[in-house]
Amino acid sequence: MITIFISALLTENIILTNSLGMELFFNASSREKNIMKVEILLFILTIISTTFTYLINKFMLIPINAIYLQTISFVIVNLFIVKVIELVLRKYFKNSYEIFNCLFPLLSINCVVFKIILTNINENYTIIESLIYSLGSLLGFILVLHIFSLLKEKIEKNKNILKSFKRIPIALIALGIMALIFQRL
Amino acid sequence: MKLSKENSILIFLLGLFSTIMFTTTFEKSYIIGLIVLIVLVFSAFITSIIIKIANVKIKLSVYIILISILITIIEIILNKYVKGVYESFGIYLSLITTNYLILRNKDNTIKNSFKKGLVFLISISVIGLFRELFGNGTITMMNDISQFTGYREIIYVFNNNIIPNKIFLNSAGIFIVMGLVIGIINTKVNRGEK
Repeated sequence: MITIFISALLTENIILTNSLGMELFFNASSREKNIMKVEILLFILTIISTTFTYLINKFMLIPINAIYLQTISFVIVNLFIVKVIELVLRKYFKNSYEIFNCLFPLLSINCVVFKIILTNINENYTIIESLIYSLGSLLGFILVLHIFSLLKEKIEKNKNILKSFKRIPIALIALGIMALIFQRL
Repeated sequence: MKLSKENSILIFLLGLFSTIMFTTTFEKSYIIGLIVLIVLVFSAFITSIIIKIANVKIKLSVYIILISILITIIEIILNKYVKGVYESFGIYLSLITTNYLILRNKDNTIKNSFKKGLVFLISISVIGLFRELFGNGTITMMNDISQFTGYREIIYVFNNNIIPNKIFLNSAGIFIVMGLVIGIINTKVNRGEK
């Protein structure tokens, strides 16, 4: 189990090795508070959806031999959970709802969550192993977000960068170097 | 990086990045490009018929479910006729449902979606060609589809140890290369504006 956790965290990082979470990466604002709220949302979303999809797969899809319905059922489950979260946020936490208003179409079907769900089912993990795997990959994603937000301040203060390399190209090169380091750890 | 307005170039780049990791051979990359093109065109066709009936609040959900149905149909067809392709892709075929390019294509006509899909196909095949040429030294035209077409063609270009470098097959290599390419394109555009 520890190998699953560490491999999900470091060597098979979702954003560095699989380059999957780039939309959230570019959309997360630069302030610390908002990154924390996005992380908490993602955390709740993945844990609920891993349990639900594991149960649906084990008790509904396999007995009927309907494994081809996996993608459709997981998409519907995800949409349902995000709608419920949005309604709860709108009623009880109005400030946070305004921050997330532009992010909900992005979160309703998300690369990161989807990949976690699909690998759990493809490798036939038990429920504890799938929870550990989802925790590990989420922590890896959050780690890269934090490291990159710290790097970004230093990069923008530097005056030696060419004008055409600012913003996106420098970010990609920095991500590439981080990926090299993380994979050989 | 906070995006206040998303232009179409950024949407295209983000859609490219989620499928770029398994384009390690030229053949895989053009198959992915073809699948994205087919999904874009068919979803534009069907949404132009259905979407006016649906309520405003659930348009996005209807669109997402429609895309997942299309991808399931494509998966089943690939599984039956060309089993090698289906097994070499694994779970990444189902991950095309979360592609940002397809998600942001909700209110487009068939012609515009066809253009977007064509640009995606050309760019991802060029990236796949470059990656395989410098990473492995071969160009595979048809290896896994050989059950369907009957050909099997792999061209061996380089045989030394210097040029085929494994870094290009890695994810780090593709990040650095894309960063450099976008920077170079930016310099050309800036110089052209002056």
